[in-house]
Amino acid sequence: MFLIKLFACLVVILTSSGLGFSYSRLYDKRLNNIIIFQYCIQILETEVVYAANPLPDALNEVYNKGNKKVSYVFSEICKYLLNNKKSDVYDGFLHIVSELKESLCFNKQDIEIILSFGRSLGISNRIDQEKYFKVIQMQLKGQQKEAEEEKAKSGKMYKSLGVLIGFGIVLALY
Amino acid sequence: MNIDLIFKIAGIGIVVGILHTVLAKVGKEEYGYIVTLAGVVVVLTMVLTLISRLFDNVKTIFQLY
Repeated sequence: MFLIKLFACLVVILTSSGLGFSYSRLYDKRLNNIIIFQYCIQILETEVVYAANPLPDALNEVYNKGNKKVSYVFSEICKYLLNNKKSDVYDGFLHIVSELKESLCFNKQDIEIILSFGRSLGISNRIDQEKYFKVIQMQLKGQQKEAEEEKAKSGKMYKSLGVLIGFGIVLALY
Repeated sequence: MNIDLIFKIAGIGIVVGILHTVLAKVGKEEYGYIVTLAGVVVVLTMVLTLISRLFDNVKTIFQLY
């Protein structure tokens, strides 16, 4: 009986700790994805401003050169643009919103920044586009800083919260 | 009277204390207070029967029926 009890206690503690750790990993993931997304935007800037590629080619190039963990969203946009000839770039960005939210753990603010970038992408000349790229890079830098702070604060909190709540449940029920 | 209950309550007290500190440190004092309150309620439900027995005993000793 004692062994069964001990085993059950261990299961409860491990489960709640695991929950806490997996929740805190979301913050980790968001930070990493924002950094990788910035690299992707840099690649896209080179492709658009200096190489002067058409947008679908540029997006495909971003997918090939960037980290596949994030850059696959650009290939999604590319596919969307090629399949829906009548829609514009913004629709392509709207198409990947759920992907950004669920797979890449971006929050509302990040998505809004990316969407507003999507609104201005590919609608003006190269000098204007360069400015838009500068703007989104600055905004993403800000988001990165915020994500770092959030990770240091909430990530740690959820870790210790998971372990402590596990111990609390075991103590209360033992 | 078993001693285990005292250790149990002490353990819950320690865990709730650490939880309160952690939550207060990240700026979520309101949750910290809720956790403390929950801890108090859990401990109270544990000792409720004992307290009621104590009152019964007092009543019997002083013949307050």
